[in-house]
Amino acid sequence: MTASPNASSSSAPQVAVAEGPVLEVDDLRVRYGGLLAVDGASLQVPRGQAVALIGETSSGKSSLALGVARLLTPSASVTGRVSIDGCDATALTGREFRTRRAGLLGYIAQDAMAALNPVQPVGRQIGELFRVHRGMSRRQASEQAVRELARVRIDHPEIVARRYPHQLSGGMRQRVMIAMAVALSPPLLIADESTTALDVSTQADILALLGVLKAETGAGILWITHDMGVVAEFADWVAVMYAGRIVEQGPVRAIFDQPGHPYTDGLLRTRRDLRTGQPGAPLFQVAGAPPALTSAPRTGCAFAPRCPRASARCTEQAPPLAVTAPGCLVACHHPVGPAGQPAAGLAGGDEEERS
Amino acid sequence: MIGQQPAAEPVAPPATRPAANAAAGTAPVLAFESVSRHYRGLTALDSVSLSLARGSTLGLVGESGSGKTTCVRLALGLERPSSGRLTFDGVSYPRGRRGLRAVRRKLGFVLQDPYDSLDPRMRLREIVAEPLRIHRLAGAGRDTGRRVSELLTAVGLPDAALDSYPSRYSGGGRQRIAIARALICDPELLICDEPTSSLDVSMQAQIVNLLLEAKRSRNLSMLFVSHDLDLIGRIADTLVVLYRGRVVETGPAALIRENPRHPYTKSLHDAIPADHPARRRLLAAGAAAASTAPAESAAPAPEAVATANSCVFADRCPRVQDRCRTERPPLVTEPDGRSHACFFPLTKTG
Repeated sequence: MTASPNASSSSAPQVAVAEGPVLEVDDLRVRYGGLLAVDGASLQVPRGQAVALIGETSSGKSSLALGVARLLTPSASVTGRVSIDGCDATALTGREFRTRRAGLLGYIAQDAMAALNPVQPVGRQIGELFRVHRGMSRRQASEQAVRELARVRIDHPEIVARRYPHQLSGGMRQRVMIAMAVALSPPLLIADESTTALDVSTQADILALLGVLKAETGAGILWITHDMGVVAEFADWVAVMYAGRIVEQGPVRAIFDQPGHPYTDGLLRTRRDLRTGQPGAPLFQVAGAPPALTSAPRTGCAFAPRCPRASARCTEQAPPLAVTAPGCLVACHHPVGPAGQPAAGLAGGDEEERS
Repeated sequence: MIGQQPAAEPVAPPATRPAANAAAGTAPVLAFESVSRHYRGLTALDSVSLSLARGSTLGLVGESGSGKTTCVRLALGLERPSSGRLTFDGVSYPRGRRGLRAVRRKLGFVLQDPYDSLDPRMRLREIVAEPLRIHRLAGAGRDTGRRVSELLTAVGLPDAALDSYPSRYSGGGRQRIAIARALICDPELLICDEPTSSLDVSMQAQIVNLLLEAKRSRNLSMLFVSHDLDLIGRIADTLVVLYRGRVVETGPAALIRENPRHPYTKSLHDAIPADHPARRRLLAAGAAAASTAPAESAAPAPEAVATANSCVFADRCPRVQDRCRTERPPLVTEPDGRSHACFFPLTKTG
């Protein structure tokens, strides 16, 4: 997200990288009323790669995604800069953005049942995109919709196109959502907990499908999740959000090998313990609960009350995001390290400094 | 582990469970004997037998539509089996309301959705004490109040929470309230239906630990339903793997977790995401499959397929043979104590 894509993990597919990141979010703030849900978040999604944005409920991860897609409720206030595929989205008016949204980004929501129109066959909903944005006739659009359903590996797409959302299984509905998201081949896909409500086997199928589409289309993917397993399987980069701020980011392997932030470390241990822990023994847990939203930026580190490494400094001074390793940024005064040493400070190179 | 009957049990309905005390020492707390449940032609459960030994945790695992929740509804006495028999402490579930109420008093339950399962208009003290009222176990008001506040403390909520409403709490907090309510009547069996599937990772671990601690300190038995094989393999003693209403594999959790014999259990196992990006498997394995064969079809819903004379997993099974489509595999028990319903089970090495 910060380094060049070439420096990413070896598992990243090689897709065109010449045109810069497909999504650039710079110092985004989202407020609901007075409450600060996203407190100055910056991240980038390189072309053809997947960035996992991890966090718990109320961490601000969905607000960030909705802010990027401009799908927040009108009462939310958003500041900061969002650039999609080189287009400064924040400079567009609401109307301009609406007409271009489907070409800029595809949004795959968690609850397809709520996101799809219950009183229209799914084929017509997909076809509508082509009628509105490509000026197709009703008939052309309905044929195109069948092709789009086949593209997301739905068997008998011509039958499914005539079905209503409630007649489809959860996995099928999610495929329909994906078909709509990729229909106009947008450079950016946002997957907002897209597999969280699915069975493990369906989740595996959907992950595989998105993996194939990512390779086929070269789209960048911003994947919002709280499931470290999905991150391990799918992401090239990871950004960890806590209480409205990004507290760690880096290439997926580096994060899993050596997390810097104690919160990331806790999440990874929790996951690992499920598989490797002694049966019957208590699970590893990160104690405490995420803090409630506040109206003013916090003075100290928001994780300090739950942190096993917290010191007096943590409650007084918010740690800035600092480079700890190539491509890795951590916002912590006492990051977890091989020797438990504090980070060396900001480094130069092609890293972009953030605070 | 002797069946612990609470010493000071204000209301004992002795008439409804004459053999309970005699049987409690050896009989399983909860048992299904060839239980089937049909809903208008659909078979939700098909001859399911299971047995929950006193003091142990039985994990019920399967995907949606497998019949997990039907098992829970039957165990709670919310519905009756179409055929077969359920027993609690060795005694058949009573038919009458009063008898059923006596069984339910010994059941605590924590359900999946903490936003739906707590009445938003009731204060915490009322929610937690409600089972006492329903079972007419509430003693003096002060006594009840003390028990409620003890339990809220035990689940990690402050005394000050007593007069608050559920809306103040997030998912994890609400499940804590549900656990306090489940424990108030000193149950023998705790039934947990996906209690953490709607929670964040860090909350999930906290809530599971709370349940494990309650089970240990109160000497409870536990029925834990989940679709997460990792989680359930970690906390259950015995596993029952359900697929489309049938038990396809059952036995000691450690054995099944490490070495599934039934291809369905194996597929559940293989669908669990990796724990490290270096060990990715879904994308590598799935990408090939996804690009060649559609994973889902517009075929009729799985439950509607007649499978009386075949294996329920036959149409998804990578090891399927002709016999699987013409004959129903019986549940075969192996020397190591586990059973599987498969003609061509995986070998020990997988």
